Amino acid sequence: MDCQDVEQLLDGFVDTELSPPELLDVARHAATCSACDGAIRGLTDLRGELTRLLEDEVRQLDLSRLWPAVAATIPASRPRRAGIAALPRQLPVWGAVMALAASLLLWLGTSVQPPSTPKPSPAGERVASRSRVQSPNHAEIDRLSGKDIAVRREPKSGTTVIWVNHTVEDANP
Amino acid sequence: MTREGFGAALAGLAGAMLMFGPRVADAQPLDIQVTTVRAVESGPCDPQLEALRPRLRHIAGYRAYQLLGEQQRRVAWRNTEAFDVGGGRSLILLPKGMADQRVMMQVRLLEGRKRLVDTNVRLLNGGTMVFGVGRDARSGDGAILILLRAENSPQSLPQTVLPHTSPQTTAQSSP
Repeated sequence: MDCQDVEQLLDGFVDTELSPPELLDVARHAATCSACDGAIRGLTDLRGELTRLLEDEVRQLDLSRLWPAVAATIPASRPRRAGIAALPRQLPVWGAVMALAASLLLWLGTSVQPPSTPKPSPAGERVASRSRVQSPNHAEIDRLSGKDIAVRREPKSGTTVIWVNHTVEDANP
Repeated sequence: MTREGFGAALAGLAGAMLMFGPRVADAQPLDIQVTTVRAVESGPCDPQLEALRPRLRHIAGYRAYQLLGEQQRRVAWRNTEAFDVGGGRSLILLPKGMADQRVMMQVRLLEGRKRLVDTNVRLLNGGTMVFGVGRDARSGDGAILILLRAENSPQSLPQTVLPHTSPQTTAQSSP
């Protein structure tokens, strides 16, 4: 990198808008080139002066009457919005209320939602949880595997029975 | 409190309910009761099961029932628990959580290392389901019934499924 390159990158370097490799290259060159180093320092000082001048100008501005004037015009100039159009201005409260309502629904839903439809069971298996009237022993079977098994539901109490049609000898020696 | 502050508080409450509400049930203990009953066509019925006989007869069709064992255990969620139900069989439970007032659990019935049943069930809180090993009365001459009750409750151990039985674990006998 030579002095011409640095001259083109000078603004970007002072504003630290260059990429890290470019920043490094310019800094390395400035460390060995007093002319470029001086140019960088001069530009930095100039920007500092400009900033101070602007801050002084801003400090001298009298804004004490600005806000009362703005406040006085707000009721007259703000169009009346109704219904859904007014929602965005009230979003912090409305959003929270809606979130609360949704949360309540979700929360309560875990205890009052009807049971979800059981997944289809593999061939040869019967899922016995179809009844809408739920008994105290209601059970839903999401998955069932085994050999020679059958699922039955006792009609009166709704108790689910998974029968393993095992050999009678094993079951009752 | 400003409107924004009130909104933020409500949103925080809603978030807290979402995060912690459904999990409260899971924090409560799960009481499991496993009762093993032998069903036979004839013979005396166990006095402890006399009151339950009509219901058992609806389930299995046999006339006489003998209590082989009863176990009650307070189990931890997402921990595997094994219940010896006699005859070389064991009931392996993995309670997974509560949803919609139902106890979700994986239940495996093993005979030795052989897996007789492997199922995922959602049992209504405090409800009982039954595993029958053998054949029902229409085609068999005896069966073993394993009654499984699960209750997610902050209170004490559950009422016994079977009337007039001791809440303590009874001795196991081989079917």
